Amino acid sequence: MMDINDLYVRMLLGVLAMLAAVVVGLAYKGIDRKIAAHMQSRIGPPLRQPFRDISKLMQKETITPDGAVDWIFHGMPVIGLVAALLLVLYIPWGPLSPPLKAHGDLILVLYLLIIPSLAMALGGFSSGSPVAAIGAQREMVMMMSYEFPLAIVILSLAWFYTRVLPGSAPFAFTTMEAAPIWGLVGPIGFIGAVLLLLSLVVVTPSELSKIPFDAPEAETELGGGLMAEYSGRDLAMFYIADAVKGLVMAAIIVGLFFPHPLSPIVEKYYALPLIMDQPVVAWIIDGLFFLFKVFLVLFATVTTVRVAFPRLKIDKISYIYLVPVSLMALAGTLLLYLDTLGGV
Amino acid sequence: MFGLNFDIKLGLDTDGGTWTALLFALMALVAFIIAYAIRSRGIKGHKEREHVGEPFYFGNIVPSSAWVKSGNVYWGFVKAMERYYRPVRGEHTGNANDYISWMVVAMTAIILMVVFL
Repeated sequence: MMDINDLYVRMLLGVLAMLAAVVVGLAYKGIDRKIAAHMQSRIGPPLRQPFRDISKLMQKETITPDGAVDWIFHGMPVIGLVAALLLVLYIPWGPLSPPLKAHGDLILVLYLLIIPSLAMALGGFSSGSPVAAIGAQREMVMMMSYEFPLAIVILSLAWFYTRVLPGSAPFAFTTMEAAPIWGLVGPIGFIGAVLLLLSLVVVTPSELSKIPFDAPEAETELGGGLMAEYSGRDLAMFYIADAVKGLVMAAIIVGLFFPHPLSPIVEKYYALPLIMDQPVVAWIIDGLFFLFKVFLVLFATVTTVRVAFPRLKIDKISYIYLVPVSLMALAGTLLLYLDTLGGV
Repeated sequence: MFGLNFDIKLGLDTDGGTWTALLFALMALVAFIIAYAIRSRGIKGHKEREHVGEPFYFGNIVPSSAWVKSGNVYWGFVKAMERYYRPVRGEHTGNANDYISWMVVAMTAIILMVVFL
């Protein structure tokens, strides 16, 4: 049974979270571009550039190419953004538990993660452009490749929690938040958890189609690939969906591996009981700490990687995910299994 | 607010996971409204002029050979797994007897594993 008032509050929180994710996602995109520019000895655009980009795209014509399948071409950007916004509802946001925490879990998140990429691929195929079709073909191949290690990571973590904490909900972020994995593993399991984390870190730039895994767009080779025919407000939709998905991917890594709050540490070591007695202070500290963790994850998995590496060929990308990264994730699973046997 | 309780039945609730499909659909509608509201702030359509709808092909006319053929849709995946596909392709003889013998071998192996492990 469910209290309807609680449900109303959660739905309202969900709407606010979706709107906030658009703004924060775009802000992180701005930070990413600025830092990447500095790494390349450029000044780079101002932090608010992504907002300006959206504003500019909204003032541009939305061109429908000859031979495009009209409703798919214009529908997919909206579907991509809707899926990215829905992801926001099932992921913890620092001190805020997932807005719909009891109504969906990691399995749903795994499925929802596929939709924006699939929408981009379908949009590319429907655009009537050979360049976009090549990009869409690459996007599909990339999805088929990175979904396997991603699924191994999620399932391994869930399986580990069922072994270590019987009776807990293995696919719920709240389980990981209540008992982070690092406190449950021994030395062998620690290495296993690090391998799973690394696998997820490698999957992240691919999920977001960032260099070196941006073969589907490949501006210098395919002129934008599956985005080549998109313009105006449709391109803006994909742009926002990309920003939200970037934020979501970082929040997933934080939620799975680093859900630790900062307020207990501040309370313990800096002895500020008068301030810390106020829940709102702890909430603000944990909220800012969460945003910082998300920034660190994006910096490590997107900004640094896209500056440091050149674009890979699609068959190399596919191989990396299907063989070395999948094997790394499976090795992590094996080590977690050995850890649960005890005495190792 | 109204002192009401209700149970959402249209969903999955197992020991492993949960998914309330009704609420998901409702929030998908809300997300669609948000996305549509953002989209509706943009300019609709474009002015008709020469060449505006032609697909981008680096300034050239699109040749018929430029398209991705259905046989190449998975290129990259197949290329990456070439070392696996090459020997496996040889086994696809098209002869039903070969396929059935493979099935017998595989099933025997599975039964042996189930019995002895």
